[in-house]
Amino acid sequence: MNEVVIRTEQIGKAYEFGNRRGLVDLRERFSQAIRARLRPRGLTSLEPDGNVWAVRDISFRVRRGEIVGIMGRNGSGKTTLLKMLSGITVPTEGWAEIRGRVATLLDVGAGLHAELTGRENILLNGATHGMSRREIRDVFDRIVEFSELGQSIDQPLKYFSTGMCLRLAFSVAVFQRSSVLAVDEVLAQADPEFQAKCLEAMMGAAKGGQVVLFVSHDLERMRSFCTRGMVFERGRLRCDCAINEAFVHFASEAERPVTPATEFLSEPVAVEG
Amino acid sequence: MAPTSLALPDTETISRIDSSSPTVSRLSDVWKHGYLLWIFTWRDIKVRYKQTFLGASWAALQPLFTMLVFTFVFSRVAKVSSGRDPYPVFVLSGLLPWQFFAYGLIRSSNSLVENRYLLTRVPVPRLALPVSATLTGAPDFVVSLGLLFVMMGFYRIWPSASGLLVVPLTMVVALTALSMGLFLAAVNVRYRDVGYIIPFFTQLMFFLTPVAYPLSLVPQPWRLLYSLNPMSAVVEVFRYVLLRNTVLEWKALTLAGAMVCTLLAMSFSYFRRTERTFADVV
Repeated sequence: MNEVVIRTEQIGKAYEFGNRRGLVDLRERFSQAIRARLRPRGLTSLEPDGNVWAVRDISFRVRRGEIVGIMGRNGSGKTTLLKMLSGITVPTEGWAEIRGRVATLLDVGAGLHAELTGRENILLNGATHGMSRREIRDVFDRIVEFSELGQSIDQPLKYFSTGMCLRLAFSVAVFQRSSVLAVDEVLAQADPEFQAKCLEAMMGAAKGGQVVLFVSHDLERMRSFCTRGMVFERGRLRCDCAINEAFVHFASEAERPVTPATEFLSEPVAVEG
Repeated sequence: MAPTSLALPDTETISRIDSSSPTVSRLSDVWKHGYLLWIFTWRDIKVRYKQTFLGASWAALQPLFTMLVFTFVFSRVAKVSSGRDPYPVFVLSGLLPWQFFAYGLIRSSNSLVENRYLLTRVPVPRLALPVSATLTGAPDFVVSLGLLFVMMGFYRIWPSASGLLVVPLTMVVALTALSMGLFLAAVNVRYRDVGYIIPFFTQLMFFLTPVAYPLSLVPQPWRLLYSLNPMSAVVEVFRYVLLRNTVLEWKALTLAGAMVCTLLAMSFSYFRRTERTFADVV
């Protein structure tokens, strides 16, 4: 039961600074070439190293059955860590080892399609998260039941509210055969009854031996059910300890002002269209 | 109520994640994620004519009107000779593989960018997106094929057993679309120029493919240039196995096949080299 499921060793992710992540267009190529000619010989580039570390130097181990609450301000690296662990993005340095599969719920709308019905979206979302036809069939009815969407399940998703989409997405995530369940800050979309149900389901998953990684800004709620807390601050893991201790740490850290420069850089905002 | 019964087996594989871990796609992924491929294709087909009044009729109306307009412009106005085949049947049999190709190419080139939200939120096998996108035009293709058979019946042209070769030829068409779409999809992630190139490129390529005119009208010295376009041979062969029951032009077809394989290998290799940063730059 106390087998290590996630192990990370100095894992880090750097993004190139700026809007286009190091992509150079034709105009820029020209101006670079011209500047290179004009620049006196021997003078090194004045341009700074264009990397921003979204997360850096993170090492920890998580064992089966742990429920880890991940705290931190926007852009402190929480989502980037989850993205690396689930294989969405590749780390720049360090490594991680994961026993089994990671089920991620980073966002409500990812892997859903507005024109398809709730039922159809269960198939789509399950498959995009790597479930096989058989796996989906085995838990399909339980997903429908868990989501408590009633007759809406046969409606196209475009008539769903965000909360209803979340019900669907969470239900699919929780019924995946995975050893890690990573849930980013999404539960805030749900009504209190369903939130409670989700927490109960995550606790059940942990009892069954799954690791739960839970990102939230709802500190009270986290304190009530996480066993361990991690506090991220500007890409660094500031505190990795029992949840109560982490909570105190985070509360005191929150009072300190942050330099806004790195605040918004690490987590790219998804804009559809 | 909580799904605890999904408790996991103790023996699970450990995967390592680092800057050099092989998160690149392999060809075997296409089989491994067969279900996902099917689901993506199904999704695109399913939403194709959603919230339209005419619904799936569009699949028949588009080729029908294209055929009528082309017959008017190329046969009546420009006096293009289609040999002994009636022009409407002639042009429709060429439009069939062409439209399937063009639609597949457009969809696969845009597949990664269109699904950027998915790409940055879900660890989805990246190869599945362009591959499934090339197959999205399949239902339209089948409907057009039905329309072609109706037209052939009207002109009393009966297909023979050689018509069955349409099936493997259609796969070649899909592979041709993929061989270019895979590359363009990967480039599109970095440079959106692809979005401007594609309509332009498909339009020019349409005129350089014997769809609206027979290859026999092309002066001999230019034929060599045509043989560099794999769709040229594919469209010609497609047409003649259906309408003329003639022996295949094996030489042209083999050349086209070799071309497609080379393009596919190059595109796939480029795709693999760039896919690790897709989620970061898309």
